[in-house]
Amino acid sequence: MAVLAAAGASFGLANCHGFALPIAISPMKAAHDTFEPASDEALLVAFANGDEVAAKELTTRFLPRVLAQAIRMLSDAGEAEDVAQEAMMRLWKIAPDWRQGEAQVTTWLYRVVANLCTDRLRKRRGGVGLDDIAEPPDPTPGVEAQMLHRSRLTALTDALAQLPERQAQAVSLRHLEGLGNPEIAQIMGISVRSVESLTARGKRALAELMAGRETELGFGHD
Amino acid sequence: MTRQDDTFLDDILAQARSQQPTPSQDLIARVLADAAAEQAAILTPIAAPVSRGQRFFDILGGWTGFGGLITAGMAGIWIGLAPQVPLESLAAGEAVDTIALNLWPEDSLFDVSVETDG
Repeated sequence: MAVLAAAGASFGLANCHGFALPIAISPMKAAHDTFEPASDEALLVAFANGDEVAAKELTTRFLPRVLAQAIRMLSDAGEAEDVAQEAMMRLWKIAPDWRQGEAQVTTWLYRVVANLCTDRLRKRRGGVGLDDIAEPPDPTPGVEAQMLHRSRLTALTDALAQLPERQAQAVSLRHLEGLGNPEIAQIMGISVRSVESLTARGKRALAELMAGRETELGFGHD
Repeated sequence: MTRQDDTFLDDILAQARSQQPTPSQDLIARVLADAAAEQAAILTPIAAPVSRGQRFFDILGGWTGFGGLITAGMAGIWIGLAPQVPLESLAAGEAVDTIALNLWPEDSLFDVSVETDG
């Protein structure tokens, strides 16, 4: 009830200040000013009650991190955008049924994005990886370095795709998102000990899959 | 797993971790459009399922049609149950002179015989 009251207060404040929901002139900034102190859960309640400013604030808060997680796991901007949009769509859909105090919105989103990304990685198995396609030589300075960077990230993603899904999720949350084991345990719904085991085995398997590609990926030359 | 493998992998993981993409305006617009559509769906009241009886009632024309039907039914029952009253009894007690009314003219219209002399 306290959260509902907080959400109601924020909602009322937004309206009594007469926000005209500017579209062209930085709507994200307006939303930020209005809802800055509101909790994530209060914003979800406000969103479910039809508040457009709450939608903008939630987008400002979560879209960058959702997109970053997706691009780190997939190394593909287009796919990462699709995953980010889908994850946000799931957030909108769950907003009216969100159970107050049961889970944090960030934890829930980490899980959703990890699941969506592992689904896409699974589909990549057996396909031709981007680093298997011969790139035409480009004499422009800097382009070679960028291509090498991309090749490394794609090689990592391809190796991640070869891991069992739970291992891939645990490794990505630990080593790409930099989360602690207790938080990963909460996201994945398993014990901390299981997380330790999954990340250790996953990283070992990842290293084996990447072994022997140092020269190809320019390791030690930059 | 050798130390070199580990360093190599850690280096690539660090490169992947350092990616901080900024959502494009197009993506933000798509996400906000989804949000608006979902909000509209949430706020639209869902029509309650219509029962069979209600559907039949609607077919009859609702309360207006149903009222007319009831009135006509009651009138039919009353006409059917009310005892027949002979016409004479309706006229009984009334000081009415009996008038004979011949609806058919005395002279037949079809009598076309022509009187001829002789």
